[in-house]
Amino acid sequence: MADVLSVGVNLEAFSQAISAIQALRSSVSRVFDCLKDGMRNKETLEGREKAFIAHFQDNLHSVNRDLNELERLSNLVGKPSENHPLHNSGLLSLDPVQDKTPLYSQLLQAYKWSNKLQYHAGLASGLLNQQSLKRSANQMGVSAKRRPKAQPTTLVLPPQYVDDVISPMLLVTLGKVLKVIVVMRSLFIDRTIVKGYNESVYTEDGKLDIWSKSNYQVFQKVTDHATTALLHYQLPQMPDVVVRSFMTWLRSYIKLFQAPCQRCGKFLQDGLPPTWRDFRTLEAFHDTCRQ
Amino acid sequence: MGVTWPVYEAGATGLLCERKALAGFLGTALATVDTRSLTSAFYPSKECLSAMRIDHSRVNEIYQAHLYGLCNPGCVSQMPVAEGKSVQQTVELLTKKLEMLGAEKQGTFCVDCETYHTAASTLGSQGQAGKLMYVMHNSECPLSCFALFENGPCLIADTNFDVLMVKLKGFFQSAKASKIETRGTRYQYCDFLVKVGTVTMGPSARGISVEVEYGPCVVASDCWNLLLEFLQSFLGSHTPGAPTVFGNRHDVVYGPADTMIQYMELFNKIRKQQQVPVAGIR
Repeated sequence: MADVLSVGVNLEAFSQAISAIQALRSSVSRVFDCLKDGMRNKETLEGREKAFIAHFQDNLHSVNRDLNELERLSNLVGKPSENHPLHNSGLLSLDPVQDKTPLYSQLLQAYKWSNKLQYHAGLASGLLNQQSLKRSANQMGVSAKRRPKAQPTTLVLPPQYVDDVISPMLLVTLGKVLKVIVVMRSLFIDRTIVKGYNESVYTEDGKLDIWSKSNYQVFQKVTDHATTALLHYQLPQMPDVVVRSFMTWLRSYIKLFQAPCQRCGKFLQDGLPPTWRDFRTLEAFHDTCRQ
Repeated sequence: MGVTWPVYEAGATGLLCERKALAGFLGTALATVDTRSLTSAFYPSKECLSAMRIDHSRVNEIYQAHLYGLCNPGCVSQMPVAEGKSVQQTVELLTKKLEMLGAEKQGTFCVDCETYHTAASTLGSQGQAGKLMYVMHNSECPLSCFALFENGPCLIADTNFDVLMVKLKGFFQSAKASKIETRGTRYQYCDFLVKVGTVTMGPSARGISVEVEYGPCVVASDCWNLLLEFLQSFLGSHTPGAPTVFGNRHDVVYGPADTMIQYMELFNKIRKQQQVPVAGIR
């Protein structure tokens, strides 16, 4: 607490101001004592009145003097520093009940800890990116997604950031073949659901239905493949490249019902058309035919 | 929806159908008759719609959802009866093949067709040959009724159309003993829906109809190859060619009328064939 208040505060003037307050209090109480005591016993009435008035004026002058002294000293004391690292939450430090609600000290600790965490996470991601990301290393892919994209130096965030994190949703319609609901999480794609062109994508309320699966097996399969594609197209530093690659991959499904499998040459396998699209070449394969 | 349509004009009932299709249909059907008096009988008035609590601007939308049912691209073909076997035995062979493929039974279906021709009294002095109109029903769209001409428009209306046909006895006469229908079982295999039915006219079985629908697709011309491969897997050499309704219509969304046209062509073909003898020789 002391380190917050000490910046810009003149301690010497502070203690002098406190004594000046005490002096002021005593001179004010002297005024009231004088009034209470009334006039002293003198020979004539005039003498008594004069003595009383003189005494009263003396006391008021001393009150005035002490008040001026106090004002002068209070200007020297200065204000406590406004540069709280946590802005308004620094005012929490003024709460005197430290034992029961140690809010401010806990807040400071949490802030320092999260800063350190961000720093270490940045170092770790730099090291991990040097390794090649294979499909089998799913956990790596997931943790790369969950890291925030930027490294804010303070935790003071504009309110729009909070709104953006609450996931926006896209409805992508591909020709007359299928519809895709893409749920984003800040700038990364979180989930996708693929449904048929003639299926309803809205709930009864009129909102986008992001949970119910397609009624057709072929689109359930494509949904699984799309989820795999999300894990494949990963690039934490360039989310726009990720989204573009994913959309290009998705667009290859325009010929879902027309393209035969590149491996076996047939259209149907177990009643399904070629639902797999290679990530590099975008060729069509049956799920069971892909290498 | 299950609404009952109130009778709102003397002797006429409201009918839910698409206005444009209705105009084309009536034009062809009753070319020499003054149709103005009949139009109001076909399309519900605003009072009628508000009585049913349907917004007038939403009629087409309701019409689509209500009457179309599932409209997936499908191919209707005829399966010739196997040599030395009856119709029923051939159907059993087919269904066994399907079950071996892995298809599951899913209820029954029925498609029926009645023929009408324009009455002689309405032809006037022009001496036109009576046109044939087919009124069909499909259990996949239980709330709908289909009325089509051979090369002409197809009208999709709700089941009040049957009632209307009774009232239009003066203009359309039912051809004698013309009712033909196909009934059978539905099978589901992955996203394919297969319907194998026995075609009957009156008491006698006249042939076998096979319909295959592919649910996920919406444009017919896209998935013909898929359908063909599937048909080959259980029909073998009896696989039909591409239906005429598939044609060269790229990007045109398939509708239930296209299925009914295929059924109409099938029924006409079967009507012209000789009756399948009960025993043996073909």
